[in-house]
Amino acid sequence: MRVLWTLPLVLVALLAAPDLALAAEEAAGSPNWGIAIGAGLAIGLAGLGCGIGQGLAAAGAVQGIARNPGAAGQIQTPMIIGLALIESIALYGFVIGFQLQGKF
Amino acid sequence: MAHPPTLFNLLEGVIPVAIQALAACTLLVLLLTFWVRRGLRGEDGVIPAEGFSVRNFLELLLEGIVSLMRQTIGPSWATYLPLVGTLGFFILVSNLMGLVPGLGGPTSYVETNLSWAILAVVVSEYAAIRHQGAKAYLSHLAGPIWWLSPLMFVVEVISHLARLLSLTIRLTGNMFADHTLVAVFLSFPVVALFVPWVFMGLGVFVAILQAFIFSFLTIIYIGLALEDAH
Repeated sequence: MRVLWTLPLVLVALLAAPDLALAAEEAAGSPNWGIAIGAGLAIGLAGLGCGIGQGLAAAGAVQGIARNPGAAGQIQTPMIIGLALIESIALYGFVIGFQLQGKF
Repeated sequence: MAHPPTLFNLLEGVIPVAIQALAACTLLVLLLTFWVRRGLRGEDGVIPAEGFSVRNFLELLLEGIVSLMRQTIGPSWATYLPLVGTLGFFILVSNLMGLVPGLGGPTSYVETNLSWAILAVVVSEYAAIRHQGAKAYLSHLAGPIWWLSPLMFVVEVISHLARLLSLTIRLTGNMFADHTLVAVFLSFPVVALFVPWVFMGLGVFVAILQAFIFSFLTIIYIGLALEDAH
């Protein structure tokens, strides 16, 4: 019973494997396959950094509110500003990834 | 960048889509202005309106902007209020316009954002040069340690240019990503009934936030330009 949750994962892997093999075959034919990997890595790594950064910002803000619930309003505003500024870094990665999209 | 089709694509051959959207946004802002101005006229103009009205909402926003400017810029804040207020309201109206299905906002196009960012950065640089003087400004760019100054100069110039780029790409990317997300989810048959609502809600929040961030960063750049050199 405990191992039953692995069944959907196995099914997905089995069904997706021939699909992935086909896609890999097709994609390897194009001469600019590096651009495809670059586009994926651009948004992927940017999202990774942004996620960690925003997690740290939100964690600091929530800890501050936990210590001093009365200052919640004053902590919230800089938190929102900080989150938006960190988000913009991830957006730069998205823009690069988007620009690379049709080019391979 | 491929934008989802809007009402403005009908006249696309005659006038570019971004300019049509900007014209529509200008018309909206002017309408709002005249609406509020009618309430301010005459003897009763000083009395606040009752309840939740457009005038009260805009006065609230203006009060917020003015208090922020007073805090950051200091005594000469009134000179820059037209710039920051206009940018803020234009960006707010444009962002929200972009969320309406069928209308595109001028902020999804990089041209309008670049022009507003150039305006903000040029005004802050000009304020710095006028307040500190050209020599003090250049020596401020060079930094305190004399033998590091070539490196410092290059780094500071690049960081000032990066302000321009970051303002542009932040606004364009946020708006464009929201519209693209909604359009992509609308193209799937089943999830089109439920998922775009969530992203529209997020889009409204991001629209207001990005308008605030743009004007807040402009205020900060002007404040940095006007503070006395160390």
